[in-house]
Amino acid sequence: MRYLLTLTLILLSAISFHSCQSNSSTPSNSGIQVLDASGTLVSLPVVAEKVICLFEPILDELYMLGMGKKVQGIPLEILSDADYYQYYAKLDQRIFDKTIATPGTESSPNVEKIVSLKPDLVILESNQTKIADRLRAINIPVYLCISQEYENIIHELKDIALLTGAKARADSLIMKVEKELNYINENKNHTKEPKRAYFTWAYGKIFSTIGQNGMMNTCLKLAGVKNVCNDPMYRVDITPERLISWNPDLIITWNDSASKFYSRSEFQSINAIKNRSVHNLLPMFFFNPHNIKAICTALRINGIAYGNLLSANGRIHDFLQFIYGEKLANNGLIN
Amino acid sequence: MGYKISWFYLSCVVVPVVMMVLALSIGPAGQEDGISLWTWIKYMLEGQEPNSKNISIFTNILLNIRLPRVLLAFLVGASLAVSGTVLQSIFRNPLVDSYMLGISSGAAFGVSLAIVFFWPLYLLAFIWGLISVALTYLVGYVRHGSMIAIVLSGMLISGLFTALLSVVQFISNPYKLQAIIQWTVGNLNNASWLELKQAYLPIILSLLITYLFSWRLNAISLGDEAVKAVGGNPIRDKIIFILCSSIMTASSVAAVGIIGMFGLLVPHIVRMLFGADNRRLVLGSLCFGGAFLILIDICSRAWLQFEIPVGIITILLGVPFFIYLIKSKQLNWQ
Repeated sequence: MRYLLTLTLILLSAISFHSCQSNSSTPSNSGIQVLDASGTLVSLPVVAEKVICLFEPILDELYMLGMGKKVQGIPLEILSDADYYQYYAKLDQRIFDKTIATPGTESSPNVEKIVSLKPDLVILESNQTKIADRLRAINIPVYLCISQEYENIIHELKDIALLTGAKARADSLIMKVEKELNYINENKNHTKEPKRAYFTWAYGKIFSTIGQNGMMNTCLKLAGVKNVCNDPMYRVDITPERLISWNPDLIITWNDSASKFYSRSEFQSINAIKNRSVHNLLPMFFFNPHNIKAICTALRINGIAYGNLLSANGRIHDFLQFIYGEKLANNGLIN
Repeated sequence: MGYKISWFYLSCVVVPVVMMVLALSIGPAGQEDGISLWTWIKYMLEGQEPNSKNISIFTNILLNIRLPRVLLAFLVGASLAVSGTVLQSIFRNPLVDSYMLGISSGAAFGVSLAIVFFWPLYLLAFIWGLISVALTYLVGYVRHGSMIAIVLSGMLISGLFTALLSVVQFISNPYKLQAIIQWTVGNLNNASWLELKQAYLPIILSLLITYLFSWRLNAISLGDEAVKAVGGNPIRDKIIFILCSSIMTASSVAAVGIIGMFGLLVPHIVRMLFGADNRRLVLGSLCFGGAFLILIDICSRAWLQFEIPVGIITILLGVPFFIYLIKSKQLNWQ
């Protein structure tokens, strides 16, 4: 009997110990868990309050989500590069004053500086896996982003919103994006044959274009135009005579002046030149294809291609007002 | 000897002309319409106006795209090869190339500034290329000193400008960074009459001066005493040659970017083919360097659907050919 009682007590103890173990894992289950671009599970017990973001497209989205105040560290190039600084300075007084921490650049994060800032969450570009491993080894959660396709952008916006406690705002941003996509879809349905577009990369690389991969190609598709370059590569260098043989209906430059094409006599036979249909995506900040502002890019290209640029510009203005808020828009960010 | 020299001069004319014709006839345009350089020439010789739309487009491509590109490729190839030859002879060092005086890194730094601050790219590349040469001389000049000091100084100034370029790259956004990197691998796809107009005068003038005085290189390569023995002024002669080399290299780099190893490989190849006499070496480098860059450019645009930067093809084609020559002949450096 004594033996049976002892056995029962041991069994009960084992069961209660197991129950205790099960209970101890509950907090992590009730925390926040998301999968990043590398397939790593990122877990936070509560929403992050101190965030270091060294990936510009996501930094931009943190301000769209209204989480700018949680940002404790940004890439150095945001302060050093005028193309970024002039806009981010209007989003955050600390950036304007250049008092915010800059623990490295997008391509070269500084681990020591990151650790010294004691962040709850670090956001890095997907190829920074070694830095991410080092930070994770000392229990600093790292979320890696890729932002190369539309699905990545939406997925990462949702994840970042969950990790920073801005789910409701993310939902409203995504609804707005879908509304604009529907508008573009309705607009392109009226046309029989899609216009053929040639895209050029920034800073004078007018013979460097996008193939059938990457977010800018997605923007062309979303806009209802056909990319003249069928190559599967991401970035393609071409000869000028290939451009003539492609004979695109419109040419979209990233930030170069249309005169780079108009001034070249050899291009006068190209439809886009004959029809004066060379346009740029300036200011570049508003047409970043690696976050939800890809919608602005698609809207603008759609407007250029199908003759409703005025209406497209109005929608882009409204979209930017929505994502950054009326206050910022009135602060001179957009105009 | 006379027979050998005639073959040399004949090949100096024939090889570049053949390459030019080949380059003019190769390209994606006209293939679908069945138009080639030959049918185009036939049209022109028969006195027919290019009234058909396809012929008029092909004429435009031939005269405004392929022709300036071929001419620019020839000039750039010739200047890089000649400057490499001249500098190897002056410094009596087979490891020297046209970028030895820091021109490429100085020009690359100038280009990075031009891209970041939207300044004129050609001008900045040219000016910073020459600034780096001037600095190399200021740092390396030692009265009655060895030319090794200049070579070392060139390496130091190159390192300095490479570091400065890295600083600009470090603080630039990814799009500017891509533009800077693309420029540093050398590309001829932006060649037009405008680029040719900017580059041709300094290149042709400095090539002409170098060729006219090339006989003096033979004395210089034997040492200062040899120059004095034939009544020359070694310092003045070296300054003229180095100035010409710097101007032609800076103009080339500003026009098409950095084409690595070209100024090292071609002089050696020409030396192995035609001997070490600088009179023939300079002319050979001019003609074969130009022709070789045209060949490389043909490969860069005709090999695949997209263009591969000429700087990459130079290494891919030049190195195996150079190895073959080393194995089959002797390096002509005694």
